Amino acid sequence: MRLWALYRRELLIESRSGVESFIPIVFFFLVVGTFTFTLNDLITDDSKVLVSVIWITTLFTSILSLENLFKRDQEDGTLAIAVLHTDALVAIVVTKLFAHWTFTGLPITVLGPMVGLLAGMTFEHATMLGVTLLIGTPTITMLGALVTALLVGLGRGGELLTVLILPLYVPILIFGVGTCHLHIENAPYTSELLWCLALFTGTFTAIPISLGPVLKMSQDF
Amino acid sequence: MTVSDLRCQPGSEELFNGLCLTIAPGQTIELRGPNGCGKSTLLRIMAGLQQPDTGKIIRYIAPVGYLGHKFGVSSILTVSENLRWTSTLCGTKLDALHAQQLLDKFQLRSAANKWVQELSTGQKRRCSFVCLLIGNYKLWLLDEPFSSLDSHGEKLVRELIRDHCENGGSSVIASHSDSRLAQADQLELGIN
Repeated sequence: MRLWALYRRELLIESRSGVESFIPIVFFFLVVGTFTFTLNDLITDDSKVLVSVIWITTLFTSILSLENLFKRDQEDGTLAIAVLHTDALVAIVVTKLFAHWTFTGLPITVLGPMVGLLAGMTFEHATMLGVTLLIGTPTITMLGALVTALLVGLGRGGELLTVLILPLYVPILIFGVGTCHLHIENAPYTSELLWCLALFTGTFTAIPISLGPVLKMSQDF
Repeated sequence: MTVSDLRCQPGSEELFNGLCLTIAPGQTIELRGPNGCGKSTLLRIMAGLQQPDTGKIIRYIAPVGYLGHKFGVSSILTVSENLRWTSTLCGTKLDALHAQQLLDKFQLRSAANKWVQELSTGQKRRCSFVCLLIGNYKLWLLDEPFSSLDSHGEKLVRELIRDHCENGGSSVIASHSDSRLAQADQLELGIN
């Protein structure tokens, strides 16, 4: 009940943030579209190129959207109120991340494979792309949230956020793209997929708990 | 709450050193002093939003009701939605009748379904107070609570602080207001 009430609040905020919430998805389409049109022959011949393009664009879309994750709450003072309620902090963080993923990660997970199908990818390959994105996008959101939480008190984002987040994204990018590539090549891909799941499980376990103290620390700047 | 031997030096200038304070149930402490003497910093340290350089703070009750320079209410949610969020944070169910009474008291009934960003600064401050009351906190840490309020609002807040302390609650208030709180113990900061 409490989780649902908190999740509802975050959904309301995301939906009322206007263009801020939708710009990342528009960005995703523009970048993937540009690559698809310019590398048309290459993408048609080899689905691996498109998989890589979609995955890399997902990472940049995530960075674009994460900048606003805690910014509004910091500006209106609700973040300070939230960190004082230590017993509810994990629930607040989890629902906030889930709502953020609902507005950015989920559309990419659904639309990424559809773009793949439109660009000539087979149904099986598009499904595998969807599966890796389903595991990868929440991982990306959680890793990014950690860095965003560190920077929110400093009032800094942009280039600093990009520089700090991108190295953290490399493992999930390698295993996400690797799984799809091996699947396209009809090679065994279970180990790469399990690594994706391991990264998801690790971040899902550790980050919601560690975000509370990080957010509290960020109030000290 | 007990504060002992607190020292804070955010830059080159020391704000306070060796500060000791005990806040008992029913007590109101008014922090006074010129701008930059550390009133807001002390409140933030007491709330747990900032770390002192040295010293110890023992909080017997948590969470505390903190009202800083920012309003602490989400600007793109309505007043009612903010009240619901506060009650969710505190793990209580929002009593609709109680909420209505508070909105009436703070003259916010007509604004209940408006986004907070559409309200005037004084109304936002009133909304913060309604949230503070919904939270049912035992200890209030209020930073300039009378700022942006009209004379009616200021009178209302003074009554609230008095009632809160009469009911066993405690308050620490940083204020610039010329008229001091009658029932409060005064603590002057910035005197070396």
